[in-house]
Amino acid sequence: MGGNQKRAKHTTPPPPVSSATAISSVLGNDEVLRKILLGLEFPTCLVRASLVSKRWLRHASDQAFLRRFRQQHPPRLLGFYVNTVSGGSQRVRFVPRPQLPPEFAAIIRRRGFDLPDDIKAVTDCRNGDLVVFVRRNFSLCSPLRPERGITALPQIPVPGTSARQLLPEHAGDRTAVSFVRDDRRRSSSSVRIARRCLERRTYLVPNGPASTVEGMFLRLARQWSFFRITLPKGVKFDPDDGRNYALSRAEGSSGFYLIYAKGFEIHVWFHGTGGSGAGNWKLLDTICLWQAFGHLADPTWRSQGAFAHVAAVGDNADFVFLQIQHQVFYMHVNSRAVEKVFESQESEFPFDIHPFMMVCPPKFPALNDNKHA
Amino acid sequence: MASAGSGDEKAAAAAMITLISSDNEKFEVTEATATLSQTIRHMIEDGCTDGGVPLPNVTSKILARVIEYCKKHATAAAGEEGSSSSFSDAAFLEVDRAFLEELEEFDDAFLEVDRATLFDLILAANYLDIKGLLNLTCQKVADSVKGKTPEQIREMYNIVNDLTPEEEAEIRRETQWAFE
Repeated sequence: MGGNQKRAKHTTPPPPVSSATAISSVLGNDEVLRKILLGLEFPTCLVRASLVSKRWLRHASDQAFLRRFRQQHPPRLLGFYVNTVSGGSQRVRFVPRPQLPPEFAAIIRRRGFDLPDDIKAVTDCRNGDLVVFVRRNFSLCSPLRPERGITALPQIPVPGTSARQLLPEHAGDRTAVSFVRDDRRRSSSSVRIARRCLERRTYLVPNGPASTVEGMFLRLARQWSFFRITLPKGVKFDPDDGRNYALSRAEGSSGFYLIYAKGFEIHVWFHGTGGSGAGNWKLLDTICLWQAFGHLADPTWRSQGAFAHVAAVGDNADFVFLQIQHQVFYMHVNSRAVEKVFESQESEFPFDIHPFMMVCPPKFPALNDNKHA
Repeated sequence: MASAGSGDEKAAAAAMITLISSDNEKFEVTEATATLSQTIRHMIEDGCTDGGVPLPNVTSKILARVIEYCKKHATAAAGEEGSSSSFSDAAFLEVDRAFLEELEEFDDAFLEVDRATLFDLILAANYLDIKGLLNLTCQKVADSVKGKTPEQIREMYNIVNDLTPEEEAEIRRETQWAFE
């Protein structure tokens, strides 16, 4: 009984099958098999199921199927890397998220997400890859695939610049992008140098005024374009803090979110860029942290003049990491669910946090002709 | 849902549909119940249900279970239609939630079947095009596959491994994190 019979109204149905062959009829039906694979929920389970047979592999690794799988089971937060600085020495550690489903807890247990001691900082984390700072150079490493080792990225030969290493979503496996800000230039026309050096592309852009956000990384996905947008009304870059807002990508590069902390109030803004930086800001949500935190809120925060730093934001503004004094809280934006995830007295500076999402959908090696561009 | 459902059932009471299983057993059901199946809905629309709808690939044992599912969910569907427009009505949502919980319990109990019955239900749900039932039963199979190794899945469902050792090694190398 093929799927094409579903809409055909007057076809003669096949005769009843005996129970012994029902299983092979069900699993032999492409549409039904895909439905079953879609229900596997975890990328680990999907990968294991893909090794059952050629047919199962073909369906599990099909690009359209994988897009649906990701839609139904968006990447989940496994934990985060946190950089701390104390007495001039830097330290990176991995903090797993509490109460992970056993499938994911097992990955962390087996893989050991802790990094070697000579890695001093994580600067970006995406698709299971990390950009790390090790022995005075930026390198790529993959905690899910430690066998790949640590790959050094080429040096940036541009003096007087500050660089950010980023991992764009669709740039391809093991491609890092250097977002190099030229602090000597403040011209309005953006100078852009794209260098392709094996695994890295470098962009050089002039330093912009503090009232704008630099949205290049959002569009790196496909177009590698750079744009600069004025901050929404009421959002001010705080030069003393520098951590009062953060950006987050919207699925499918349809725009981006900005999460802004004003004391104990969080504002969620959305900007539909349409690919060019044109468009308007829209305030989507305002969250009172006193309310959301409930019993987790420390009453002394008020008297001590504490405020919330935006330490990291998930894609689609799904979640936000907030640092208040020496503690870090995870908040799911839609549900306002808050967990305390980290506390340390040893850092002099605000914590640098990089959420680690489980890779989803899993990447399958192209075996035959099913490699897609 | 009760009030919305009764109106629907009243209308449907006039139109009863006869379903005939492969072993020639006849089942009288309301149109609301029967039309959870897209296949039967199309037959009704085309006016070819006079004298009953023969379902020669569904046994009476399975058909009885399918009808049990459809009866329960037809009432749910009627309730949902009524509620979708008044989404902000908190009281209504409360009723809805209680009913959805009941429905979930029903589904859980419904799935307490042996493997042969489960797969027969999938075949019937697929043929009759009953989306909810197909999703429910396929999820049950997916749950049985979760956490299993490829070898265990093959053994469980009697599937022959036709991947070459090279292909298998290649995938395992690229996705080692999913194994061990």
